[in-house]
Amino acid sequence: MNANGTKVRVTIDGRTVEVAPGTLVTDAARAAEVHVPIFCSHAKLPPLGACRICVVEVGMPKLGPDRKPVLAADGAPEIAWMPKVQTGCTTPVLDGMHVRTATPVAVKARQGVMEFLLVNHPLDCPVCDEGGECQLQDLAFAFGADFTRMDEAKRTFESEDLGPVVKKEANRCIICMRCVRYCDEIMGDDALTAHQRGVWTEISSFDRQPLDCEQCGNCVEVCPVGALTALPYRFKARPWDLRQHVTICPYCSNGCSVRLGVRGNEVLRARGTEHRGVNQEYLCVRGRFGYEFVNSAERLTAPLLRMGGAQSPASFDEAVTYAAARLREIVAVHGAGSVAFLGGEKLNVEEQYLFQKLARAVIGTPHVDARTRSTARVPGDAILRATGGGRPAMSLDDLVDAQEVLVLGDDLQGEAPFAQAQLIRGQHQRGLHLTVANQRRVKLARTKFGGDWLAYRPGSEPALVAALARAALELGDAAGAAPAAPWRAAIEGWTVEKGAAATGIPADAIRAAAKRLHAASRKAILFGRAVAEHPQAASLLEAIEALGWASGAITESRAALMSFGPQSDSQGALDMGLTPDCLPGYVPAADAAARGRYEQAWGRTLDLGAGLSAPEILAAAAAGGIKALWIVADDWLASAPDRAMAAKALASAELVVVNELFLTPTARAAHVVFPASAFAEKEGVVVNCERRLQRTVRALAWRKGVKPDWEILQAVAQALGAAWSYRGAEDVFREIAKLVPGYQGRSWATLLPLGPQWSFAANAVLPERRAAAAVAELARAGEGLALLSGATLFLQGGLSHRGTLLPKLAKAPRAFLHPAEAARIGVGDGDRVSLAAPGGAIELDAALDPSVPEGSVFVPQAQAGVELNRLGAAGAPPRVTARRVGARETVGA
Amino acid sequence: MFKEMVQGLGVTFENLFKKPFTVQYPEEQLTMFPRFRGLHILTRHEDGLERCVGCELCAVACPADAIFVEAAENEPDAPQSHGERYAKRYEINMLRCIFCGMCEEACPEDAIYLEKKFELADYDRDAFIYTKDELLVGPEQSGYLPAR
Ligand code: SF4
Ligand code: SF4
Ligand code: SF4
Ligand code: SF4
Ligand code: SF4
Ligand code: FES
Repeated sequence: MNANGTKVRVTIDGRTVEVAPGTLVTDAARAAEVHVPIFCSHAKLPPLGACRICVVEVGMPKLGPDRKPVLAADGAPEIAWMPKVQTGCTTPVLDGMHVRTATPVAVKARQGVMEFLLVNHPLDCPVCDEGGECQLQDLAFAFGADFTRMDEAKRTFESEDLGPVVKKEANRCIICMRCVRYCDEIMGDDALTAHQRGVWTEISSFDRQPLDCEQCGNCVEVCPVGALTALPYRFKARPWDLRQHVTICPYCSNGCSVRLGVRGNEVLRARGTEHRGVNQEYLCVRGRFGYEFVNSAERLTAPLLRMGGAQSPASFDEAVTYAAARLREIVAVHGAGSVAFLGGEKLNVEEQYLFQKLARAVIGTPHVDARTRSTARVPGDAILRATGGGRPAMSLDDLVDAQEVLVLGDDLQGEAPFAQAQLIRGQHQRGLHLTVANQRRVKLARTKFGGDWLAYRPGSEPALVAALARAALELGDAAGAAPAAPWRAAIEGWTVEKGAAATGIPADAIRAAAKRLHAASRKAILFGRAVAEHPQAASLLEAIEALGWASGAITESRAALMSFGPQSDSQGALDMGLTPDCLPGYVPAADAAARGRYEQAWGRTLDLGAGLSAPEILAAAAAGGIKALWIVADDWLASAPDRAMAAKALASAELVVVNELFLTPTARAAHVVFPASAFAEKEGVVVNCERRLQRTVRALAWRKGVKPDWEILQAVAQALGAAWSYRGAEDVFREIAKLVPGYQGRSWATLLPLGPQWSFAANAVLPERRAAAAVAELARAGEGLALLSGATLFLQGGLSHRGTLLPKLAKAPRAFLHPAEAARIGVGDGDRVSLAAPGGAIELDAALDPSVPEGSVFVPQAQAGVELNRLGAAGAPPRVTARRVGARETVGA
Repeated sequence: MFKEMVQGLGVTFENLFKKPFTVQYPEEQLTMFPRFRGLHILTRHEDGLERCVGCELCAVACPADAIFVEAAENEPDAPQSHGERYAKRYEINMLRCIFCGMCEEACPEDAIYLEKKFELADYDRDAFIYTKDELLVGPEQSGYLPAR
């Protein structure tokens, strides 16, 4: 529908449909349920008209001299057909247009195109991996001739491996240019190109080098034929061997739908979903190739119990009985407050709900926190407040249409690859302008995307946000920003100039960025881990809320801010109250009236006292105050801000229960280890960064000895005397839908394939809150280099290490230094460097990278073997001293 | 009544002196018709390489879901078949097979044929899963294709 809602009527093969003006004939045909074949056209790419397979006859009503349609004898308007067939994928519909797809003229034209497409196409379907799901095969069957008039030899090219992911067989290529255009306009990588011209056109990488790109495999996905195929899936199966299940990717908060192909009980591939999900055909490299861990032979298959010395396998019942008995003893001796529950950001919401219910309603402890990486206490509702307090949220699709987007602090390539792709598409196709605030020149900050890069000093995010908010306020209050609004307190005492001094960004650049944001009618502010795990996260998030109001990104009725949580279901963890101060649905735990709904439903009082947050639990456990820890889906030794402290906590706790897929270092330190199901083995609901509820489905049978987390939690709760009787995740969700604000009234059945985005009713959004204190100024930089870290594309979390492809793509972990900085400290490319902080030191190979600012060192997180938390609890910003400890030669491969 | 008896005995005597239809199996064996469909074989090219490329068309054509194929990529210096792909595993479950010949019809490579062997009884269920070793003809039969 266009702005004034008018629609145009088109008649396609006698069926009349109403579509928005500007719709292409092929899309209108889909609406009319008439099949018009396509190869080169793609919903996310502008029309090209390269392949001509979509030819149809197009006509308009004949107009008489009076500009009125001429009527034929039967009263129907006479149609003036265009003399030649037209490509439907490039022809926009007009009101009254008539289209014929099945006339002899159209059919003959299509057969002719088909014959030309097959002139050079090899007859190697039996060995081609696309066979069975190839559009050319299907259309040749439907429209093509069953003989060839081609006598000459077909032209041939060498096949090539373009890196570890893409296999190219150019003989099969029909030069539709989808791959080249997708890589350019959506991935922003320009990694593919067409060599030669005419019949010798060949798609390949530049200089025929292995592709230096995101390795997303989307070129393979969009290739309508078998010219590009995926090497990891090469010759593994045929589509008819696979049971295909659409579920949700576990690797980031974007929540892409993935179609898993399962043969036997093994996942053989993952693909996009074409017409479903937030992502449709898109998947990043992790979503597409990161499923390997599910099939891993190293998965835990039996519970482990440590009674005395070593861990030994036990039956599920033994493990449940033991865990329950020990928990009961510890509660009896030390009180319920000596038990803490950690982790859970990767679970489904049903499991998260049960996890906190076990803690609060069965054990009776308030110490629950999923955000094990935080270095400081952050209110459980801080992120929801910063993203508009539960007002209707923006969607990932809205990003494409935004005019101005501010990306705060994070490298979206690692944190939210799909969101990055949406921004790149918006930039290419719709004139989106990017403002990227990042210490490093990350991909989105590259000049080719035409945005502005705000390179602030390490750790000065709060100053930057406060200055941006001030600059936005200078432009006049946006609608809804009342002069006395409490959010103003967060930026009190700040001016643009003060922010400029603290961040090192010129005040003009800050003012210009704020002006762009303020002026845009469609805008977005995106942030992630760099904000949520900042040492000053609590006040920083309030400052972001202030920026939202000041720039008009938050209004009374909606909010255009999006937070990318560190894990696939981090949003669910917040929603389900895996925070010490909030019950599910952001009900304040300390508010006796508000929590009544849960007291009634769970049958106990929830006057549990103040809960400890994750960093406080860490400190308390290390000091011996917490006696029992239950950690789910989290390798705490790797995620806790201080590894030595976490090790001490694990060693001194009387009981450590861990639910895990693999024997992680944390699981090794546990007294009870429950083997848990992987994402593809259980059903449930996950919530993505848009706050969209999406159902995951079970693609694989449960492995022997492995149970989904909800069952483990229920078994222990029952052993502790709770009367839980959930038959499945659906039962739990029903309880959630009854009780939890924001989730009320949702029905499990409607969450497939693409559920709704939840929001509070307008009168129920979180009340604004007076900021505790304005964001504090940054402490003066100390000695040494600022340690920058962040997500990278190829690895995310412990599970991604368990396959073979992703670690190979990620290469060995390295410390990235600016060449000038490296020269200053005498380090060459590939030398071994030691990074030392007061808490400890780590050693890595150095790599020179001009995108890292001088005076800092970048170490990607989530790589196996990089244990940044060995450096001790992070200050703001963490600082290290780098020293060369070995030459390149001494470094093992 | 007497007439009928003579008629009946007439038939008996007539058959007594006819050549018998039955054969003394297993001492005596019948030659099968050319298009008889018995146990499958996997054939070889003249150069000894396997014809089967592991395309799985036989598996998808099979109405009894009796065929399992797992393909793999040929080693360039030691290929098993022409082209890049070959069947790493090729199994037919003869307990399921209904000898319809659809696999033979589906095969684009003339790789699978239903041959004349029909003595398939065995003591063990597992023995009815015929593996590639059992189905593939020996190198001496390279280039052999059954007459059709
Ligand atoms: S894998 Fe992705 S980034 Fe690489 S060439 Fe293909 S589309 Fe481009
Ligand atoms: S490789 Fe595939 S997607 Fe690319 S131009 Fe050829 S047929 Fe189209
Ligand atoms: S963008 Fe995120 S959700 Fe989508 S495939 Fe990649 S990791 Fe998975
Ligand atoms: S003969 Fe028929 S039933 Fe037997 S394997 Fe072939 S297709 Fe299947
Ligand atoms: S026998 Fe024929 S149809 Fe079956 S996998 Fe081999 S080549 Fe394909
Ligand atoms: S789909 Fe229309 S020209 Fe290719």
